Amino acid sequence: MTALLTVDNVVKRYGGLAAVDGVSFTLDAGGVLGLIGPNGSGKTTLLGVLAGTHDPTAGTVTLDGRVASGRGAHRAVRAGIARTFQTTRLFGTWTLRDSLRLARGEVKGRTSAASDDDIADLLGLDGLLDRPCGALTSAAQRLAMIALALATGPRVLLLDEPAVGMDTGESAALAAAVRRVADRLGVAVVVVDHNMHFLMPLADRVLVMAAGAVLAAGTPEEIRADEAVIASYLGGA
Amino acid sequence: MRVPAWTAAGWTRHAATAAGLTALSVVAYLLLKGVQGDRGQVVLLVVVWAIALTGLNLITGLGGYPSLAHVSFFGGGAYLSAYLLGKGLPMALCALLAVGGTMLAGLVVALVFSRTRGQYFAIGTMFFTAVTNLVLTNAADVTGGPNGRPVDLGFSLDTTLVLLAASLGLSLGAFYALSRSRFGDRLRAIREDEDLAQHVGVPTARVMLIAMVVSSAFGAWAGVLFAQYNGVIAPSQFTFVQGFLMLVAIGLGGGGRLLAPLVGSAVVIGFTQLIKLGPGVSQIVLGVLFILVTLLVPNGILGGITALRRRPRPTAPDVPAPAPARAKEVAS
Repeated sequence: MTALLTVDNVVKRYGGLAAVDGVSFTLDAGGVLGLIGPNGSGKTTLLGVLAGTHDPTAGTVTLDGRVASGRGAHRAVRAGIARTFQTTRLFGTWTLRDSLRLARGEVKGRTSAASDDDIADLLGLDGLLDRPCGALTSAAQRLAMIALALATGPRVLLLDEPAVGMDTGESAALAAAVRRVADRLGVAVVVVDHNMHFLMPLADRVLVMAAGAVLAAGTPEEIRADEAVIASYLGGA
Repeated sequence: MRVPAWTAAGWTRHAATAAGLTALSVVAYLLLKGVQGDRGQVVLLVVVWAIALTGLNLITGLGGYPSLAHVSFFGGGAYLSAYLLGKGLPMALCALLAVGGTMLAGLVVALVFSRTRGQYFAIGTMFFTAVTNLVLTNAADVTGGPNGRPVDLGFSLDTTLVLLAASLGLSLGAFYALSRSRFGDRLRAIREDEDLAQHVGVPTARVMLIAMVVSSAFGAWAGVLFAQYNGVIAPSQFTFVQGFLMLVAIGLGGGGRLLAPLVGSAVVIGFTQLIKLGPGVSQIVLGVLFILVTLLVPNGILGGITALRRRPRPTAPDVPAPAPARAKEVAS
């Protein structure tokens, strides 16, 4: 069986700097991949390439055997790759329901697996659908970004530091919500985060990046025990 | 966000809007026909600008792109129709070609500046207007040069008045329909956050390109009617300053709101034409007014009115206020 998402030797250069340097991995439906590494290691740039925000300099991203990279963000969404951002980005004056309606309308050809209420239920946003996004709490806004991505009916969901600014309880609830999304909707999830207490229990596999390249890959236990990773990033975490 | 079209509330609102816009057209016709002299010219300019600004309300009001090219589309419609009419073509064909040609120019502007946003888009479109104005001023054989050119009569005066009044209602009606369509939602999403809009699947470049081309059609048609009514057109009517005033009018009216072009035009034209404060002074006063409105009611005059109407009214307190006598006791 072929993987749902295949990232094959992706390179992203800015002049002489290789922000992403030959990264390859695969991800199956329902899997959660953690992407970690020091600041500036290329995680967000890689996410940008996967989401169509940046065109790769070399290499390809294929979704179910079809090339999904280098075609622009809106086409990546329509192909089935959705993302959230490091900083909170929502249509602040719109209600969450209106935002979801817009997102759903853009992928009409592809049936979204979950209704608005299903998404709210999965993410613990019940009762918040009709509130303006700008009026939600910070943690609810982080979840609302995921809801917006899910409304496009993605097969791959890219989360860029979703737990930033959350306390322990909120990040644990977020981890449980992401796991529900992967399990119930069969969505493959790539999560970038620096919070190891949040990420390690959530991820099935972890990819460690350093200076744009893959430093190590494996299960969370293997990564925790990897000497190179401990030396360059994890320390005593 | 828009009221869903297929509900009873939606249909009621659409019908009320259609009736209101029809009434507005009738009032506009009566004013155009009845008001003479300087004030008649003001009524004409308000109506013409409102038609033109309806296009700008799409790209700037709904889409959030500050276009200074709109006055060039306005001038493009006026000059193209006048030129073609001078060549002996029938008026209807002249109008059609003028609007079509200007839409082509809108397409070029949209393609050239498709990678710019915000102030960069404004600067780019400002230069387009500056260059267009230079061409109008210097291509004297075609445009008549800085003194302008006369416009042959293509429509009778009464036909022009009817077309002006009808176009006002129809333009606003078209804006109403567009703003409540998926296209309108996409434009609003772009105004809120263009990157996010892209990442929920909105083809932002294509949407803005279509908005620019449609927007230019409103400007061009207003230009055609303006040329017909005025009888003379000159580059001084289509300068960068006029383009900036158009942008100010949308901001003052309340960008993205249905009647913003009409309210904005009335304020801007009123200041520059009716209040004679000396050369340039009325524009300074207008600038101060724009700053005040931006600071005090960022959503424009119409946005401010809406906010006032939605403000919750104070209700009678559940617990009676303490009696003054008791207050005195405490004080003593």
